[in-house]
Amino acid sequence: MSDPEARDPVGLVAARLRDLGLDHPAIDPAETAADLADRIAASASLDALVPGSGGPDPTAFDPSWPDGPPAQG
Amino acid sequence: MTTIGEAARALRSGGTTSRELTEASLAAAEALNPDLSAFVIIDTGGALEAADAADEAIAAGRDLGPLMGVPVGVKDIVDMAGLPTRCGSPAYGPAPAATDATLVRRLRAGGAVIVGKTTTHELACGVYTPPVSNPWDLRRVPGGSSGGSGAAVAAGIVPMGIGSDTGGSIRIPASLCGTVGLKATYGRVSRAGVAALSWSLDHLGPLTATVEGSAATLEVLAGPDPRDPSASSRPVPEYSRGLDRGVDGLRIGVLHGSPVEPVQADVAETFADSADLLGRQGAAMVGVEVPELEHGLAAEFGIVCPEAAAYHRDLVRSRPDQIAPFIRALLVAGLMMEPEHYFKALQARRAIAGALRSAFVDNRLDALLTPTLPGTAVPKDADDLDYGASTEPAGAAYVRTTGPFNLSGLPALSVPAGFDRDGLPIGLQIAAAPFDEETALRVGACFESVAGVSGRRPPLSAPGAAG
Repeated sequence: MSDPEARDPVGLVAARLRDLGLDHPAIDPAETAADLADRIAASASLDALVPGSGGPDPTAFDPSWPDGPPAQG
Repeated sequence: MTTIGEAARALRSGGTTSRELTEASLAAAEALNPDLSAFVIIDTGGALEAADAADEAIAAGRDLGPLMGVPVGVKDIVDMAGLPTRCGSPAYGPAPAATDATLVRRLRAGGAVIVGKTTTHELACGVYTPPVSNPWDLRRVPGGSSGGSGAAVAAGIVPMGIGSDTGGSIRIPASLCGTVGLKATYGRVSRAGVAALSWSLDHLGPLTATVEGSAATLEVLAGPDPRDPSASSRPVPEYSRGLDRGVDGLRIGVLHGSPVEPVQADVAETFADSADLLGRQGAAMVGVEVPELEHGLAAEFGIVCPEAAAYHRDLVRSRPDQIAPFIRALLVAGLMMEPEHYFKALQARRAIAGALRSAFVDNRLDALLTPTLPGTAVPKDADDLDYGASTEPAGAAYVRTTGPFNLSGLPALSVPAGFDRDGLPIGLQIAAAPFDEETALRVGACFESVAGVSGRRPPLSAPGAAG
């Protein structure tokens, strides 16, 4: 681990921003790192609704209700 | 400006002309826009041309539908040929759109007169819509992202303004501005030719002065569209019929717990009174809890974030400095987060939609009530909604009661229900089963007829504005 940037979350985010073509003065790596942490925490809260693996096909959204009992999850 | 129903009747009886209505609408727009900023474009020439065409059709005995000759506004994320689509963003240039969105084609084919394009929150991603002011108090926000349409309808400039709704962006300004707002079932209205925020959550629909106006507008807008594969081919009912059937015999759920709480005290009181009022009209009122909705906000943003980032990926890479910080952060995160987070949010959406379905089926509900929003319009410089004992960021508060119906795709209508101690509007949200807009509109029309709140006009409104 000779690259100091790789040892801290902000450095990792800065590197990832560069990889994605998002290295721009308007995009602050530290703010982005904090924002990402919040969003990943919010995503983790969805574990209460979603199984760790498997689960329903998430790509087949249809607002209509088919006949039969309500969908489970 | 009269309501859509009043205008339609007057036009057909010879009591007025579309040119008269349109000139009044244009005059009101010019007079009020310096205070409201509701319109980004006022299309005087195009509107008068359309008005004269409508008058010719009426004179020839042709009936193009309920919007024939009626002035309307269209949110500035919707393409209108010959006019730019700026999306409330400095990143979008002045080049005119080449073609009309399907929605605009339908409005034009129905004889509607589009007087201008209404202001949107930047990229349709926000609930304040600066610099638009709320006609009830110019120091306060109109809501968003369809804030221009909300302000224009509330002030009586037009009886209908088109909005879009990804997490509540029709119903939020409808509630805060004291208008009716209808988000129909996902796929009921074509989205072709409209800038996206989040493909799988975006809906289009009207903000109107009355429930009758929303029903009439949906009749014009709904239907299949080869340009939009998500547009449903289900038959389009005559939504305006049966609005007067009342609610006797209906079972209406009253949502408690998350995500309805906390709410401001005046909102809680108005909501309870609204449910009681519908009960006195003969509906069976049923208390309902759907605990899964606690996770609605996380699922909503978990979907909006990557879908919006994908839609705007070139913009966020090339000109991030031209995007507001809140939206820029969302777009950057959408490009950086791993796909598992997106798919987890989509799966959570399925769970939430299933829970709502269970609530309807298990309780044999025809409709489900919530406060449209937990609170009334915040001052423009305020970040939080104040509940007295606590506060909540308005950007989250204004979405948590509306977003579940984007996630589930269910139709949801907001109708004016009352006013808080400062005289600011409070909305009642009425959701129904998929493609059962008729029931939501029926309940809304009944409530509107007995609640007695639709006659009040904001301090800043056009002469002769409809109640």
